[in-house]
Amino acid sequence: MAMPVNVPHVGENLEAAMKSQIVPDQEFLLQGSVLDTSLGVVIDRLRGLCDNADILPETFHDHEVVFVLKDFSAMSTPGPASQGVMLRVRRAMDYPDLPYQLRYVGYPELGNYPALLRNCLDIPVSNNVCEFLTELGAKLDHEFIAKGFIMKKGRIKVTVFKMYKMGIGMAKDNLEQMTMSHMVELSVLTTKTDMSVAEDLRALADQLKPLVQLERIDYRRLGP
Amino acid sequence: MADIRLEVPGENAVLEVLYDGTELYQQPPSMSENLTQLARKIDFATDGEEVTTEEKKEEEEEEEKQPFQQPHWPLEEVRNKVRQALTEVSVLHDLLMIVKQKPHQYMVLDPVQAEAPEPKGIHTVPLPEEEPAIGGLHPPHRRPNRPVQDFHIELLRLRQNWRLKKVGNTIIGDLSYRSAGSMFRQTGIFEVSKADDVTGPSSLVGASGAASPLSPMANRAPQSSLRVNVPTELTGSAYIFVCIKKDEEDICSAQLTSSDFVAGETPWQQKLEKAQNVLFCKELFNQLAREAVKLTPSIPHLVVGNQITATIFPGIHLLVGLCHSDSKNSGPKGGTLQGSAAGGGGPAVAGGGTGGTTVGSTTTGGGLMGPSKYKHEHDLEHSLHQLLHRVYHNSFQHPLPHPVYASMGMSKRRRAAGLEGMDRNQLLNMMREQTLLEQIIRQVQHNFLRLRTMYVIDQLAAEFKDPLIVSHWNAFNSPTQSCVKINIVTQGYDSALRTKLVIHIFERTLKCICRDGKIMTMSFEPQELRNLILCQISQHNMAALQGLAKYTGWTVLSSEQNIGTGTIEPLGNASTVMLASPSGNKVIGVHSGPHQRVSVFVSSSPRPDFYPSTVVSEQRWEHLGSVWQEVRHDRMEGRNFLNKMELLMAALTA
Repeated sequence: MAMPVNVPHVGENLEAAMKSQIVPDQEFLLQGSVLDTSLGVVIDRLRGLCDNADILPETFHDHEVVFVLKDFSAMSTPGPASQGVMLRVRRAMDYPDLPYQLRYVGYPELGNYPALLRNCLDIPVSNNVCEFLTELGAKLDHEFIAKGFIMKKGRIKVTVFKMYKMGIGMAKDNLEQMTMSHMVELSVLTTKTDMSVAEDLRALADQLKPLVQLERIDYRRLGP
Repeated sequence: MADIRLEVPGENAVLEVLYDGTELYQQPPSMSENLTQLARKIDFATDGEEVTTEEKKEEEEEEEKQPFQQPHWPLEEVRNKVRQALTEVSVLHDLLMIVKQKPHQYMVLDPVQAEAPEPKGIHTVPLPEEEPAIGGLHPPHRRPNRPVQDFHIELLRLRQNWRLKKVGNTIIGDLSYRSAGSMFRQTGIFEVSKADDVTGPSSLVGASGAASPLSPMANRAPQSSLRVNVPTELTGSAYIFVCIKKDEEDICSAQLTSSDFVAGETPWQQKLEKAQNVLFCKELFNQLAREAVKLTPSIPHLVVGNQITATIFPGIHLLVGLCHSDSKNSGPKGGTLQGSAAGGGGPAVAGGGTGGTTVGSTTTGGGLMGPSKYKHEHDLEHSLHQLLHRVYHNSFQHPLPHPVYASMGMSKRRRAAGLEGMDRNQLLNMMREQTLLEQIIRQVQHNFLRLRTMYVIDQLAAEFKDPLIVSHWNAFNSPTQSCVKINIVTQGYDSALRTKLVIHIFERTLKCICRDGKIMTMSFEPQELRNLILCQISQHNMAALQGLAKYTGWTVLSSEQNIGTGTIEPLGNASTVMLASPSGNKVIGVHSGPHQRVSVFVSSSPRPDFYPSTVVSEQRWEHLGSVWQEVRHDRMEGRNFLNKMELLMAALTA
């Protein structure tokens, strides 16, 4: 005799969570840059603004590999559809035991938001994700190394980092830097329904005003 | 305004005369070059008479560079005068601006080094306008002819230690721990105002501080020009008390001793620190009370008024209470006064009542206790405070994500949970945290058990002088685990034998590791430990006797740890040892049990001398057992049991 067992499927739970919009899949982002010479000032200012001012800001050293997943055989037509999906895999080089992170970043939302708003999904993945993506048909687009500082203020994640080129035979301590400046990023993950945090982000950015101009940068206007 | 015209000399300066006599003229400067040259000459920032040497040098250099200009420029004097006038006018203008502004604008004269003229030192600082960076200003400030000369300086000091902001016309401060990670709902808002407006709702800090019997510090505090106004529910002083009680009847009584540990420099500092302490204690108690209601142990916790009672061991209770005394009325708040207890108890309470402030507890009549019986557990109070501070700390100290794409506010294990395929139970276990109350109960249990173990061992050590019990407590221990090493030795014979055992004390159990490697786990009942040590003493005596026999040449005929005959021990087994003298004609039998005194018997061969005959060729055939005679060894000479046995052996061998 079969017992009436009602076990909800995992997918159902996820779907319900998506429907009620409690999944934090939206990211507010503000970006700016600062010259290396003024980095110390910015770090000092950020230390004063962020939580845990008593301890030194934590450093990070991440390696990011970007894959493009699209139908490469199709004719290239203008428009976002032909650009495919970018999947970013990031690993912490200074914490090799921690899981890799796979990130999907959507296109910026149109509208008058105080910060750049885009869809953003992060999942911890195992370290064979690159092979998996290659098997799926994704192609390696580019890779780089980001080194810098990470701080937080409440829910806001503050990163100040520099990007380095990734090449063959490049030692860990001998990296070729791309620019003479550091990126400053303020980001916060939120749900579709909770937009109040963007104001906090803006307020924090205003505090950095004379040092760093943090703006919502629309990538579609950049590039070729 | 005077119209001053400046004219360039008509002809250009000669730059060089060539050999043929032609003169090369300097090209006339363009309009902008001309202007820059002139502008360089005029320096409004420096005073004409007191140009620093560097500037003089620069000017000289300039003059050297430009030889076509006369060293004494005809308009220089005019320029100087104009400049001076301008400076003075701007100073006057600044001053007028300040005077015209509302009173919350004030002027600070910062001393500038050496011979600097007064206009340079003036900065106007609109201080309370939008919380400027006060850290940049430094005393001394001078502000004569104003009665509230210290207000801004004190405000500055206040600002260095407390969070302030300006709302409308009032300055509001926050003394809650919210910025440090607290989630307590009660706000800790205080108001800062000047002391000179008498119409304000609150009284002067100095005066109110002096009214409090708790704070002798406030008596000598000078009149402060700054006044802080804390909400009434945060006035007075408060603390959390923790005590352990044995008896049922006085479960709900407590007393308060004055604990005025705040030592601020200024009256408002003192007042704010006290208020913050009150807030902290309230939050701590609130948290504990919530947990006490939520937890469901076998014996439920009792939350009555501002007391929490938890049963930690049968008959042993932990009492956590919040004592809050209002500084304005020194009467009790929600509890009995010390005096009511004194009515029943007589002089016993006098010692505790010195503070004389209040009692912060809820009842009642019969339950009175002397100060000896009633004791604050200061270390436990401290660890309670520490626990809440740790909660604060943890709420801010989430590990930062690595790689940075990872989401924030998750532990490392939780991030890896998806990868490792953790199931629901594992996730739930990971989420589970011990509540403050559980943690403090564990600490209290350990604390109590440690004290009781200490007491049992000390009692036994006092009771038994033979053998001696020596205990070494480990100075470094955790709040829930400590360790004691016990040595049992006989005085003067410690080389013969040393019985060692180690007892680990946990929350509800004791773990004893004996000399032979046996590990015994005991419950919190003191009798079990007592029995164990008694057994160890008995075994020590027997083992030491055998060790002594080796030195004296006696032979161990038999040794039995657990003898089955004789009177039954209430716990454990008696043991016996039989020793034979070197010549073999004397035998000593010793019987010892954990709960019986040691008894010694002697038996000797019927004939002390031996003459070989044809029938009995060797002496050993003469060693027939005879009647056992008990030795009354308590009447014997000797310091202790082993000493007596040694003397006995010596006497029997002779």
